[in-house]
Amino acid sequence: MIKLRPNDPGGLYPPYFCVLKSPNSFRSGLAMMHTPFRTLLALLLPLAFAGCGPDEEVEPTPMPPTTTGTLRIKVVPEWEGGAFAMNSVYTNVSDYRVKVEAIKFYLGDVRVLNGSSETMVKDIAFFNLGEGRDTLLATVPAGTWTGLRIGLGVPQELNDADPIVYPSGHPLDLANAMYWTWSQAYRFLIFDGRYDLDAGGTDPPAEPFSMHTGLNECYMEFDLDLGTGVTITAGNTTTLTVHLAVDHFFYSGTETLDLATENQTHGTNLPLALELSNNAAQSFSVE
Amino acid sequence: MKQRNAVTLMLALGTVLGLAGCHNDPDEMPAPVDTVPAGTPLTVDIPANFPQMPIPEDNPFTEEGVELGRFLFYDERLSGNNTMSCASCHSPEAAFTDDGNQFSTGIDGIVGTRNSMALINLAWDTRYFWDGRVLTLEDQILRPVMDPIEMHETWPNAVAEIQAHAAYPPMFESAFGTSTVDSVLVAKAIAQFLRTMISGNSRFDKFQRGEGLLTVDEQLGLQLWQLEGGDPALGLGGQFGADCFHCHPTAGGRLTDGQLHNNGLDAEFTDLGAGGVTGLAEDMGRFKTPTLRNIALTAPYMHDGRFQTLEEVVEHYNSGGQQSPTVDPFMKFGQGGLELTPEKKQQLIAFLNTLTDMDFVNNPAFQDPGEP
Repeated sequence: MIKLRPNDPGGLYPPYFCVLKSPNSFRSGLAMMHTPFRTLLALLLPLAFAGCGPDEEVEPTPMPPTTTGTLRIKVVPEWEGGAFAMNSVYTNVSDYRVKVEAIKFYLGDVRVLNGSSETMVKDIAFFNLGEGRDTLLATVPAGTWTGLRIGLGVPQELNDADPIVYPSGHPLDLANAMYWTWSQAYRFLIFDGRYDLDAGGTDPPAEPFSMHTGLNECYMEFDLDLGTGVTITAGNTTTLTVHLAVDHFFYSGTETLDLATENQTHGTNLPLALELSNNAAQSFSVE
Repeated sequence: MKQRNAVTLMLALGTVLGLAGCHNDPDEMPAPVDTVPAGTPLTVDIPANFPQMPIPEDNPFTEEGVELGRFLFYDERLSGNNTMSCASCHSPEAAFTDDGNQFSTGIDGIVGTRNSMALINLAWDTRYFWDGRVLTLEDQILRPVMDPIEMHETWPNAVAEIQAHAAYPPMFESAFGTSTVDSVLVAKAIAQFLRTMISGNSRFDKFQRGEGLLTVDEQLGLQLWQLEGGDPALGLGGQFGADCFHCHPTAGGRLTDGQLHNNGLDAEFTDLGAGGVTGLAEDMGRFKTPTLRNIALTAPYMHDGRFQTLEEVVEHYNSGGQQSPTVDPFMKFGQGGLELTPEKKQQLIAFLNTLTDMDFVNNPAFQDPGEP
């Protein structure tokens, strides 16, 4: 079961696009440069000035028992409940032939739920299903958890930071090519491919579709019901398969995303971006 | 830069304070046998508008490693007949490209099929060569030496020649703790040197850091860069912009997304690009996005050097490109192209010219050091 909770549409950004900022409003690189070093200094200075007291035997601090385990969330793309492969041709809800070439997205602010309690276990994770990047690892308190709350996109606090603060290997590393320089914010979902309006066609679909969501308005939070619960045991890894119905990207409820007229958004077509975000957020499920 | 150095110094002091002098009995200190890597650790200044540099754990910067790499980069012993070095096709006089040649000519007089790529900010790249066939800089460096149409040498021969040179074994000893030369260490040393080749002082960089201004035309060119291309009546979301930002993002000073794209050069491919590596239909005609840093200095353009001028390049994108099964959705084929006016094209080129960084090109630390 999925409970969708769209973000407040009154986000920071005006609809459609932001006007280029003036030089003075570019984020100050010099100021930002200090941030990681402040962190390093904060780590090193205690090393420098602690532990140098008079000779005395220091009782070794007993290590606390491990109380956390690892939740491994593996996202498996599917088409109408069956296997899905990039660059294969499928027929979508509009009876168009479609070939998906890229699905990349962020999941943010991942929380485990149990009754009224919730615990944030992962701030951000990047998925690139075309390149096999399909797994999220989270450190989770031991116990039984009956639900997940996940954001499709980059939480605003992370999204608003200067991207140069994110190091190599970080989900928000610029090398993942998910950053929109025009809006100084991250893309949340990239859904690219080609389509053919002729359901009986035999040539590979040729017309490109390229739909990229982003901007804080497109951040979509959704819940996944884990039924009787997933149990995390201390020190162990538990794998949870999350199904992603790619066919569902083209519809939700009674609304259909019609590729004939809705095939491109890069932030400049916000209604389509919101429609896709909504569809995509409802495409995740757990059996 | 001074602030960065000061921070580095403080870190060094903090580390020394933190890790030394707090132990009562030096005899109990574990002997640092085989735990300290050879060479003197080197901190490289990173421009303030750049992200951290990813440095491989197995090839950290050292002063000696970078120096050794610089000598090797310019050393013709790496070619079969000792007439070519890496710098032959990546010359500092040509902003580390091949002197305006469309294709490079190897030691046997064989002409290649792709334009020599400019060596700029390689440390941040995640794939190398026009077809993106290798994923590390060290691996990239190993290839041209062995390529029969380039330096046409075997690594055992090259290593033997370097080993036999009186100056090199001690340099390897200083850099890597062994005087025995091998291809992996050669590649590591050159990679260290190449990672120091950072361009971050163009007028655009200074503008991005708030240290300088751009002219009105240059700023309008940048604005076009960041706007969606095309006519909104023909393609959803069109803003009559130049739509450069998708593949050449300005964030972090990269000016490349580092990805593989088919930018619509051909309807039929004579060079398969990444498809020639993977064999996958979806990769046919896709090539790595090059950085646009120093683009005004690095003609000709595209993987095959087909365009001689920036005007030709801009006109290609303005046209919308050629249709093919893998043409990138960012191209505006079938949607009337970008429809840029002559004035807008000139503004775009004015902005491209702000990416020139002569401090980088003329940096003494990157020039030929002569014989070791």
